[in-house]
Amino acid sequence: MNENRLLCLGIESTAHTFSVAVLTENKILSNEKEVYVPPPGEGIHPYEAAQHHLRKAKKVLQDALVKSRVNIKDINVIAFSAGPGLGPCLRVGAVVARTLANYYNKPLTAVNHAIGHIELANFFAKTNDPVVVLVSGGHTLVSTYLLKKWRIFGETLDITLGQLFDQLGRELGFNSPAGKYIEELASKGKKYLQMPYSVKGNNVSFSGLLTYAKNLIKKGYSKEDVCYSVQETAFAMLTEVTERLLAFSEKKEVLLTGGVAANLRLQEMIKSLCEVHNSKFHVIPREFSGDCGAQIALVGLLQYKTKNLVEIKDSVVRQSWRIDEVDVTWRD
Amino acid sequence: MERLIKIGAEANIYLSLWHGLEVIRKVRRPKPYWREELDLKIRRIRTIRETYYINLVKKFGVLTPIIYFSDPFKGEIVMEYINGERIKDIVENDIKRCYDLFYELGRKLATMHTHNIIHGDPTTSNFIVKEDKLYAIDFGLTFYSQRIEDKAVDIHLLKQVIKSAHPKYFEEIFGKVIVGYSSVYTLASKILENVKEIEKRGRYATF
Repeated sequence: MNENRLLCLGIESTAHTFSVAVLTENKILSNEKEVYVPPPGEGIHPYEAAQHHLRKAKKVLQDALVKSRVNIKDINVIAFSAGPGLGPCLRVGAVVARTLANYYNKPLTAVNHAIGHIELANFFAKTNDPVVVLVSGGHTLVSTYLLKKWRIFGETLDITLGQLFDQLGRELGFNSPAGKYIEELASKGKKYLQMPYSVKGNNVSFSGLLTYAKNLIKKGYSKEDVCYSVQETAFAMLTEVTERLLAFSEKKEVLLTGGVAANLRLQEMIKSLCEVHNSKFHVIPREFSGDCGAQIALVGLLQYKTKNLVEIKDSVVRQSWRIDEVDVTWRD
Repeated sequence: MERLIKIGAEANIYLSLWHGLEVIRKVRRPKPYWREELDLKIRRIRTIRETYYINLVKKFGVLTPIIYFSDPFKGEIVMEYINGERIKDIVENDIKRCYDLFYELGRKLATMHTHNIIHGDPTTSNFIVKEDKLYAIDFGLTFYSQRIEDKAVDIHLLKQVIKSAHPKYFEEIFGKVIVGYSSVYTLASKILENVKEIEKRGRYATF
């Protein structure tokens, strides 16, 4: 075994997922998770989710260490998701991380969850200077990197794509995250129903679309057609904004990441746009698109290498933390 | 003889010849991710709008290319070739020169807003400088509105673009835009208030 390799243990607990991963710079050794599932037709309850994480924390941590075949004493740094997310959930991850760091005397580093989505996608795609499209339950934005920060060019001004699908799913009696159910229904839809299309400048807005779709369902329109039309409309909005950033920034790569990146129709649409602009299309592998410890561990390792650490007494969680506030110490 | 000089977000821009004149031919492409009926409709509407507003704003003193020919059904416009530099490129090369240009940009935007014309896409790549004169281009998303909110969205877009594409000079040049904008438009302060409201709607915004 290589003695010089750097090892990071990362803990993710921003919302419904509690996950622990162990990785080195070029290999993910383990990535274990437990997902809190609310009752059908209901959304995530922050307190219930936090209780779930507390119950599962020990098992997930143990599994991750066993599977990675790493002794915790050999870990170089402990990373945790410090935000953005639900307060009660974030605190569970933070407490586990602080305890490990204190007991085993390891350095601690606080990771922005969204930066994790971006870096993990890049871990597989090895992009150079992409337009990033980040779509998940917490984020919907397009961004490029410049001078130590991910710069937000366009974003949602109300709910995210993930929330759009979750809330539509709730109306249909599914539990969150509902993206995969919506996608399945949409694939059976045939008729396109006219939907509100809302792009303001480089920003998008989905709340009008959600209300409209919910009303159509109440009126008895086919679920399949509604889901299909919602997907087509919401993705067209996002793709238009992406295209505008691609044309403006004159970059040659697009990186699609976040939970909603797993949607095949969205991938297809962004890909078609890349072809027009002679740009390369990259998407995060399906099994890593949702929230996971690997995204935290990876950024944790990059932060450790650039001495971007945090003292336990300062290791607070931040429910609101925009990606353009994060100093990216490991990129030029 | 025709040369593709730019693939824009929605149109291909060709440098072309038209009755012996060197012109720009802007052709709106079908969007592969829009449904066909929607695509045809949007391309036609945007071509009509662009032609209309490029001509209209000239009356208020906003310089734009001369339109020679427009075909909404083909989504195509033939217009004057403004052989100048985009503001976007000047910022990175010669920031000193930019101060007056951004002041002027603010004034042009205010002139349009005074007449209830919302540009819709006022980025630094949509203003061109030729012989020290500032031209506005790309009016495909332009529309008429008296709403404060719509005018604020225009300013917010420009602010977002400057902040994200030219972060080093953001404070200075956006400041110039505001000074220029306020010097023309009496409702400027009201609109800037609304810009702050829009910023607060961003995810995880804490200010």
